[in-house]
Amino acid sequence: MASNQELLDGNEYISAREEALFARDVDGQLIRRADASLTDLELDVRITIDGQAIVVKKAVPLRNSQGVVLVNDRGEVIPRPTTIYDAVTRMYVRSVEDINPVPILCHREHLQPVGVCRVCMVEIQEQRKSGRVKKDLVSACTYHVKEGMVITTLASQENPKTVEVLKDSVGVIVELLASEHLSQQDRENLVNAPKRYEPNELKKLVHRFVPNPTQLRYPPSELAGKRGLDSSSEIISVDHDACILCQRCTRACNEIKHNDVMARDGKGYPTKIAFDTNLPMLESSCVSCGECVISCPTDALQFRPLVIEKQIAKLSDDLHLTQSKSSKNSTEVLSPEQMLDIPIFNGIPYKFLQFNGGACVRRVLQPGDVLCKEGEYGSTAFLIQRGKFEIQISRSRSKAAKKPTERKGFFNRIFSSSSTGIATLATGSDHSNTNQETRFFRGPEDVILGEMACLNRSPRSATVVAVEESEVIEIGSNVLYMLQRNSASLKLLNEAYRRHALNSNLSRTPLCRSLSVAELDRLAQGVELISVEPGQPIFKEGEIGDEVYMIRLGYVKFSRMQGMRDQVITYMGPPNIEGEIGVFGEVAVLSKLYESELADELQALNFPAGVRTSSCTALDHVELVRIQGTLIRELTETNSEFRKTLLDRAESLLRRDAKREVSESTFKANFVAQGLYNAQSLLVLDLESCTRCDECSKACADAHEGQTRLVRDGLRFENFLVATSCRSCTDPYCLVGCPVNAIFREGDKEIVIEDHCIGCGQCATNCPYGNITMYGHQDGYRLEGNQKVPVVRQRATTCDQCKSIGGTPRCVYACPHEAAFRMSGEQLTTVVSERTTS
Amino acid sequence: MLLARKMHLHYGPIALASLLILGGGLWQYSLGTNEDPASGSSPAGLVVGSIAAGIILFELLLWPRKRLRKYKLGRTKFWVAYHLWLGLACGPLAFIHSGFRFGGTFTTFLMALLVLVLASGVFGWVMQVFIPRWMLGNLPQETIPSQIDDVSLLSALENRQMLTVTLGPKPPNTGKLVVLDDQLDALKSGRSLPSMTLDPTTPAIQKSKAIVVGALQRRDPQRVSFGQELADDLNASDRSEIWKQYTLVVEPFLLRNVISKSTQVASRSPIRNLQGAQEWFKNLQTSCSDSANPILIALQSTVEQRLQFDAQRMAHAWLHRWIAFHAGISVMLGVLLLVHIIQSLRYM
Repeated sequence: MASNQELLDGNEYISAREEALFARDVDGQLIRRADASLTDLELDVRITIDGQAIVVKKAVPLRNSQGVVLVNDRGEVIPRPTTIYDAVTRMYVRSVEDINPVPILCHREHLQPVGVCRVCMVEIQEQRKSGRVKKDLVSACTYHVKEGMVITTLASQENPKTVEVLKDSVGVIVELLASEHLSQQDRENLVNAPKRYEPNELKKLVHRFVPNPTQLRYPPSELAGKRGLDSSSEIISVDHDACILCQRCTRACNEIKHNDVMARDGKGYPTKIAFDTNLPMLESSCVSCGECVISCPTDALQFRPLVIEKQIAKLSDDLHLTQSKSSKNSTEVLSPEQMLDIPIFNGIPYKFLQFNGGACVRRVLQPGDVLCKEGEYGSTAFLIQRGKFEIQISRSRSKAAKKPTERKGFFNRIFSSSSTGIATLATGSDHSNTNQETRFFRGPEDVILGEMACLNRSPRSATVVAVEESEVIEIGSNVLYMLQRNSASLKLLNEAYRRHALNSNLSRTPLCRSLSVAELDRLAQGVELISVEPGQPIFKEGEIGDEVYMIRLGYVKFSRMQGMRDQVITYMGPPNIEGEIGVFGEVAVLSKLYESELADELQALNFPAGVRTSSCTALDHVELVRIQGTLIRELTETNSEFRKTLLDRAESLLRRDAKREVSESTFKANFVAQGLYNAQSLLVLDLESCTRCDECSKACADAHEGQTRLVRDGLRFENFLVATSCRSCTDPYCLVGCPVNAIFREGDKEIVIEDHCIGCGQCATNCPYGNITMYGHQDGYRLEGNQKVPVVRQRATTCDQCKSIGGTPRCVYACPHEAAFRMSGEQLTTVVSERTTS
Repeated sequence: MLLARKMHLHYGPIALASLLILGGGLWQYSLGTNEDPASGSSPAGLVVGSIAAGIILFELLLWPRKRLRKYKLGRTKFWVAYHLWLGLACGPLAFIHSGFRFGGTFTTFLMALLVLVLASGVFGWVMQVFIPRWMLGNLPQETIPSQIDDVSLLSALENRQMLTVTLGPKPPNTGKLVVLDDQLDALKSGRSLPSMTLDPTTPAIQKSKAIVVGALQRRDPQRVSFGQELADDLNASDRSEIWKQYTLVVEPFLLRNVISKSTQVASRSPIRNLQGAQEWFKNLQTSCSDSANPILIALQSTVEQRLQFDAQRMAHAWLHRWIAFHAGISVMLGVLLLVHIIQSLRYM
């Protein structure tokens, strides 16, 4: 190899001409680090941790804070180099109860590592190219694994001397931080072990690594204790003295929530975290989402008692109301401490649980009690603690069961789902499959129930009935999101999700009705659950296809080339309220399978067997069940009824495709582009009749304390104006990521935002149609006499179809010209089609 | 007209009821004899008059009904339907009540007022049937009337941004752009542009917020994003000319009513009507190279949008201005009717 090329990691070369400026240090060492490549995801790296050999991949997929693998524009997985911390986690943390021996302070699994605190120090030995063995203390969160690396952590049994060195090194760091950022009172209290639930991670480290917290070796700087407080916000208080500048808050604000409000300000000792251009929090553009507080490992950022008191008061009211109604079931709101006693909650920050008051409820059910009903909307999931539950999935779901009318409040929602109705229990086998429904059992080993409705905002896919005295912990969607940030609990949840999703989909698909339970199991083991990003193609017209897909989540569109234009033919969505599962892509597979039987149909369509007759593209975040054609062929060989079902379906599909005309009209394309397929209750104004009198907006404002929830403007669809007002989407994107679970779906379709909204604007950002409005005190305070009292800056508001004031949408009620209507996207197309033809 | 609203089912029974009332009135009138002809003071006339007066009072209730929108007092469309049909029946009833005579000055004035109320109502009715259809076909870019100036300001800002990206910074010798800092601050703080001269702390201003919905930015298909490479094809004189014409002609026209100075300039603007605008842009396209066409088309699109807004303002006025007149004379009619009733009762 030429001398101007450098060997990187033993198998890659880089030319000197490719090097960036300052790529080498003063000794001529190449300090540029090549990004991880796709091949690194498959490349094994052999390392030794605490005397045990372990093989890890050189890179792992980059994930977002919810553990979702990120892909680039080409749909390829984005790799990131595997760090020592990743490897140690893989070796030591097998379940949610295991503890990682590497202490961390500035790092969290869901954040990009920055290595500013160096508390995660480990000793490494790696061989240089010169053959010399390098021995060094490095930060585990940022240092990448390399072939042959030997790592010693604090848990090492073989190398006590190194462990002592590590303890001393970490101890110095922790002691320096403690001297500057912990008060004398705090340090004195650390003589005794801190509480198990102590939210201040620095205190725990001081207790662990500093032998005498009251007499530290290093004096604090002159600035200690003088950096000041920022108590301008009603929700969050900032104690700059307690801040260790770990950047967890800034990364949470900028990388997780993308609010871009927080940053470090200044240099040296006076450095502190700042909001915008070092404004008080109240005056900055901070939306008080609370992510920074949840991320803060010290007492620097805390929720103000007022917010927590409000939550507790609200909970007490809700609980009082619901307990008087549901006397049969035992329910108990869990405190943050009680929740942290449950192993799966280990990774959840104490402050998050504190902020969300009683986000979890323990429920004890008696045999026959219904936990949730198929078809109902629910924003909670159930962690199974003990007992046994029967899952009943009907083959065709009836209309969504109506909930009781009194359902205001988070706890009412939780408790109201606990119907006292007695369901018929299946007996005998562990998995029965009747004509009407599929029944099977779930226990504590299955970890969780109801997570699909909670995560996907879809109706419950099964009815769950307690078979014996059982106990569950009911959690809101925000707690479930938080659980996904921990790799151990994420793995557990993902496995459960995959199992439940496949069971639910396969058992309800008409194609699979002729399959026996054993064949269904075989099918379930052979299928894949895949995610597709918006705009990403699933398959293209003219391609050879050998996979069948079932839609679990999201919408896809089908298009066919018409000249140079890609013309939308139709679209398909997730299981609708009747529970029909969308199956697509089967034409190519079945036409190949029955090529001789379908010769006439194929000729009429002018498509060769096995070829995709249209292109399929994801319209939003889509989750699909992918079935390989080989698996279908295997099943047809053993099951003649299944074979016949498929043949019939293939015939009808080919005939449909042959008849389907691809019109030049932009009608369908507009329908898809405007997202109307997702709408259950559009406010549409017939522009032929609408006199633009604004009575709809005025009525809305009058009915809702002067704040209108609709804007009489928006996109036009033929002769109708789709006004800017909540559409009650089938898949409501607005429900994703609310930090306090204040937004949810009530009843069949209405989206409701409760009073404990903190005004972070996440839901408004998520809504692609701009149908959520933020209202409030823009200045962030109200005047009481001459005093400025901080208040929640804004609250989210959306149309709840006037559910809160009797149920009749005032906009439609007040229209004097029969011009305002509430209808679904499908109904709108019907009306438009009727007008066009008449 | 009514059939156009596709409300046969709703309007049918109401129209029938109105006809029945009218028929009843005529029957009452026919009961009169030559010796005792039906008049306002005859029993038949009194009955018919009472019915007409009741209808007029009911018609006046539409106003408080509209003010009490938050209460469920029956769907407004039914109120309006009754208002229209009973109102139409009310005129003939009043004539029947008077025995087809005008009587004295006061009653003549009262009858003239009633005719005026009916005529203005029918005029409004016609306007509200035909103008929405015209707007649907001719004003595809219409917006909320109160937001016209805000949207125009945003258009001007978008244009500046587009020209800076595609043509580079504005050359110094191409006129002076209006400073829009105050207007932008007003928009950011949620105030409405026309109210800027008022005290911003007044509740009226706090309530009227600048509304920007996604649709406003996506509705015009002619607006395209331009790449930086486009600027490379344009020569310096094109850049200078487009900036100059934009500064002197296009932006002042777009910012009419937003900036008072612009309002004066715009009244003499060569692009103040659609034909003029098309001609003017055609000339500009001729004087510039072909590479400038996409930019000019985009600018023309914003001008045409503004022209549509102007037409919308006009249409909105035709749609709703008559109501003030109709309501005003209706109230007057109501008051005078009370006087007439009291006067009549005194002489009975």
